[in-house]
Amino acid sequence: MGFFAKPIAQLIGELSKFPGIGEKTATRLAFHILRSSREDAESLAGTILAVKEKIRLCSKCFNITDEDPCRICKDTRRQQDVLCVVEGPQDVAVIERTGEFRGGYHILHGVLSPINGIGPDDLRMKSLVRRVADRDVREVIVATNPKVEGEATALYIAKLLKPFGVKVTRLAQGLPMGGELEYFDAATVSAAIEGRRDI
Amino acid sequence: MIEELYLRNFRNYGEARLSFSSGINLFCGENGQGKTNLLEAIYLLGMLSSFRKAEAASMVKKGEETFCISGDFTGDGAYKLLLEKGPRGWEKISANGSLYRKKLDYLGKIRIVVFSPDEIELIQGSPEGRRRYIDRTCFNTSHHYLKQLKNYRRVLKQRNILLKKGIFRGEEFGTWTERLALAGAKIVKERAALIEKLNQKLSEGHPFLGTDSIKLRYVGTCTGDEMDVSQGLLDKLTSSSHVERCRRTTVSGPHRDDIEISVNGTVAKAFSSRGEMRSVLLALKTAETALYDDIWGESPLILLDDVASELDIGRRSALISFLREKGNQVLMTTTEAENIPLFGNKEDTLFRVSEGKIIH
Ligand SMILES: Nc1ncnc2c1ncn2[C@@H]1O[C@H](COP(=O)(O)OP(=O)(O)OP(=O)(O)O)[C@@H](O)[C@H]1O
Ligand SMILES: [Mg+2]
Ligand SMILES: [Zn+2]
Repeated sequence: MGFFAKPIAQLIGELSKFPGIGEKTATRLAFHILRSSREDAESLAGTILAVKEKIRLCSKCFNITDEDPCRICKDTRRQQDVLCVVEGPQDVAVIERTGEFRGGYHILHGVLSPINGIGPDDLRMKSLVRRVADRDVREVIVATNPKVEGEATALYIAKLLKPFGVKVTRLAQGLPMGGELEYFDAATVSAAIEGRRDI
Repeated sequence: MIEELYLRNFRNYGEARLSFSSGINLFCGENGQGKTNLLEAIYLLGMLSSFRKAEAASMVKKGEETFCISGDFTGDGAYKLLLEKGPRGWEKISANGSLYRKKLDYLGKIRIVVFSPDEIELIQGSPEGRRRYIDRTCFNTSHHYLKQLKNYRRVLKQRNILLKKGIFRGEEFGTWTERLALAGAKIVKERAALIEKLNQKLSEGHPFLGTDSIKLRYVGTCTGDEMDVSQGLLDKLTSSSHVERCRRTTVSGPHRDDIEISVNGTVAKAFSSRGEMRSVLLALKTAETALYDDIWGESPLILLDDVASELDIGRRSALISFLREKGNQVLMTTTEAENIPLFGNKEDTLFRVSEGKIIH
């Protein structure tokens, strides 16, 4: 990259940190930004900063939000006694798209994975227990991905919530093992919610 | 069967293009000329690993950066497989023009059975080699097995990290232990089912051992149906907790199991004669071949490396007529063509191999 002027080289460097973006794509994006108008560039920079400034985590469900509690938690028409536990905010979007689920969410922000140094204390587990203990939760649907780590996390949650006598279910295995919720189409996810099973 | 093979900068080959016939393809040449390399290339094309315990990186011709292997196969489907290895790993893994990012999705298109001098390790060597053999054969009979094995290994790795950190109790550890037992039970179930089927084939008789009876036995932590094994593994993991605490690793489960091979009730490991072990191996491999025949309705490709150095003339003849009868395509190597009995039918081809070149 030595043949690019420093500012553009730096931009390429920043862009290539994104997942799925290699140096080639980063270079193309950087030149696109360079060629765009000053307003467009400012708007992009501003939007990026705004994400960092305005977005925080909902104090109830830990979804990303610009108001606390988030819109889903605030919505009194939603079922209050069913919680769906997911790995990340993207999974909420996937499940919402199906229109199949009308309860609340709980976002763990990860899954158990000793390899990556992630244990229960690194996830929003204690707050999940608190929510279940404080409210009349009837059912917790664990919608972690059907991978090794997602399955272990689901089992951990089932054990954790056992003392509370709450029904803990898992999405049906319509989802191919090893897949990621994010990439399934709505129909698949919706069938999986329909056919959830106890754990 | 394999119809054509193309090599570029693979081991001692610069560029080579070969067309095979449907019967016995015999590669004849002096030591160190590239005969085994050729079989290795074909095996690699199908399995993405060597039967010689070599890394693909070491197979790039000295002084070059990449190698390429491609082959045309016909059978239950027609496949054009192509591999390209570069300095930083696989650059291309493709079948019929589609690129594969995951090895798992590419594997399983063709089945290959190898008889090579190293295979004796299966009897003499450590349990690891036998587990590898059983795992590979399980995969060749049902492709979802590899995914299950990967899952098991992943859970095992996760649990071992906890043990390394000195965590051996509590809800988190218990969770990984339970998952390990569940994943392990699936492995044990598949392996045991395969051994059952191989035993069935072995009991149907084989031309290499006369009336001797060969039997495999799964030597595992637990047996029974999946639920029993899962519970058994869980109990075993719990009861060996003190050992795990000292060694800081998981000491029981399918990753420690073994397969016992016995002849007329005696464990084959105890045999004195190498020739006898060879015969046991041949019986086992022919049982495997027959199994693939049943499942896929198609004979696997047979690679025979240097059998003349290990088998006496009687066994060599028995093997070759057996394979001919079954209609398998065979690729075999030898230093002297005269060592191969029954060679020279019209569906056979002789290739001369010399210094990385093939003379038809
Ligand atoms: N990466 C490589 N680059 C160049 N040459 C290589 C490479 N790897 C192995 N060789 C050469 O290949 C030759 C070995 O080939 P191979 O094992 O196929 O021999 P062979 O014909 O089977 O001999 P034998 O009869 O002894 O079994 C050796 O000369 C070795 O130096
Ligand atoms: Mg050789
Ligand atoms: Zn919320």
